[in-house]
Amino acid sequence: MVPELRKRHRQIWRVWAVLLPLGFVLSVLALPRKEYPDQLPAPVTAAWPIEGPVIKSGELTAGLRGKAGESGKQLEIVLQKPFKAPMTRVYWNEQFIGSLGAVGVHRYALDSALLAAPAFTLKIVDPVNGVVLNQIELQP
Amino acid sequence: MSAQYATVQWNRQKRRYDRILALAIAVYLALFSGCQLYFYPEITPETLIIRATGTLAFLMLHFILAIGPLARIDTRFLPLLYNRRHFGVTMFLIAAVHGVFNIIQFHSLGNVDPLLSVFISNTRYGSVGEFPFQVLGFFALLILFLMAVTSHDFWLKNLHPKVWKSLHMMVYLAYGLLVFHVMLGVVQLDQSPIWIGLVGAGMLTLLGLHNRAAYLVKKEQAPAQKPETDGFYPVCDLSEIPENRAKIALIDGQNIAVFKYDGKISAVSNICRHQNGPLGEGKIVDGCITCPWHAYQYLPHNGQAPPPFTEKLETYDVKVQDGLVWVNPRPYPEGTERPAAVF
Repeated sequence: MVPELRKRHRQIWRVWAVLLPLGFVLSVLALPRKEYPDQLPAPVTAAWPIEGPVIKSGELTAGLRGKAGESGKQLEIVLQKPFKAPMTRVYWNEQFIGSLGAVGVHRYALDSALLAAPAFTLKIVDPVNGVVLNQIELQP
Repeated sequence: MSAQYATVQWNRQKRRYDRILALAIAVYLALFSGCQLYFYPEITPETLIIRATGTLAFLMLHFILAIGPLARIDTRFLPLLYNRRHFGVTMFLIAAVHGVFNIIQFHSLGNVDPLLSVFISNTRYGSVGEFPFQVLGFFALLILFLMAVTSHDFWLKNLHPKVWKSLHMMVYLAYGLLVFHVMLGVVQLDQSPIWIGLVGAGMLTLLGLHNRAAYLVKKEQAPAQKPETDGFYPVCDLSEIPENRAKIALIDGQNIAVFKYDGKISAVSNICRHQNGPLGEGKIVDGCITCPWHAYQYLPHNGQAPPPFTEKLETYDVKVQDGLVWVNPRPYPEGTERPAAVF
C-alpha cells in the first residue's frame, strides 16, 4: 500500500475511533424505557369455555374464555391474515401481555389484576412505527 | 496476475478458502436457526431468514475488516488476505438476501413503491431512538453492491487504481452505517444487553486492531538514518528479514521492499503495478515476489513479471555489510536487472 493510502486508512480509523463510540453511547442512551413487565403471563395451554361475545374486527376475532373456580380468564385472538407490520404487540388496558405473530389462534392468560378494571380495551400495536393497528372494546 | 482478461482464476488455495467459508456459513446458519426455533418457536420463516442473514453478514463484515490489520500485525494471517475478495462478495450476497427479504416483508404489501417506502414509512429523521434505521442499511447495502460488482478482475484491470481503491475504502463508511443500523434498529426494539455487548465488542475489536496496526506500521517505517557517502542507507539487520519475506523501507520518498531469499537480498518498489498493493507485505512464492492483494508476481532481481506478463517495477541497489542491510534509494528504470547482495 502506498504511504498516501496508508495515511488515509489511518485517518479514517482515527475519525471512527471517536465517532463510532460516541454514536454507540448515544444509541444506548436513547433506548426507550422498558415498557413491558419483566415476566409475561404464563403461556396458555388448554382452552377454557367461551365466555361472552366473540368480536370480529378487521382480520381478527377476539373473545374471552373462562372456567368455573378460576379467578382469571383467557383472551383468545384468532388471526386470519398477518399484519403488514414488522412487529405486533398486544396490550390489555395499556398493559403489554404478549406478541402476535403468525396466522392462527393465540391465547393469553389474564390474571385477576388485569381483569379488575371496569372496561377492557384490547390494542394491537406496531411499536416500530408507533401505530395502533387494531382496537377492540371487550365486555367484562 | 493477468496478461489478458480472464473471468475467474482459480487455484487450490482459493478453492480451499471457499470451501472453508461455505462450511462456516452453513454451520452458522444451522446453529442460529436452531437457537431461534428453540427460543422463538412462533417465528415465521421470513423473519428467521431476515435475522439469520442479517447477523451473519454483519459478523462476516467484522472478519473481513479484521483481516487487513491482522495480516500487518502477524504475517501468519496473510493467507486470509489472499482471497478476501470472495469473502466480501459472499458477505454482500448474504446481506442482499437480508435486504430483499426485509423490503418484501415490511414494504411490499402497501400501496407505495417498496423502495420509496423504505424512506418514507418512518420519517422521524430527527429522532435518535426512533431514527429510520432501515435507510442506513439500504445505503450500506448500496456501497457493498458497488464493491461486489467492481471486485471482479474486469474492473480491477480497467478502473484506475485510485478510483478503485477509493471506491473500496467506502467499506469503512458502510461499516459505520451498519453499526448504527443495528444500534438504532434491533437494539432499540429488543433492548437486549446481549446485542449491545456484541456490537460494542465487535466495534472496539476493529478499532483496536486498525489503530494498533497503523501504529506498528508507522513505527516500523521510521525515518531513515543518514546515508553513507556512497548513497546507501541502513535498513535493518539481516536477521530481521524472514526468509522469503521483506522489510519495507521509506527512504528519500522511495517506498522500497527489500526481499531476502535463497541467501540473497534484492530491493524493488513496494508498490504493485496492478492496484498499488503492498508487495513488501507479500512473500516469495515459486521464486517470485507475490502481491498479497491479488497475487501479481515479479522476479526479485529485475522487478519484471515472468513471461508472458509485462508489468515491471523499479529496482534498487542493495548491499550487506557486517550483518546490516543497506539500500540505495536511487531507483533504476522499471525492469532493470540489478545484482542481488549475497550473504
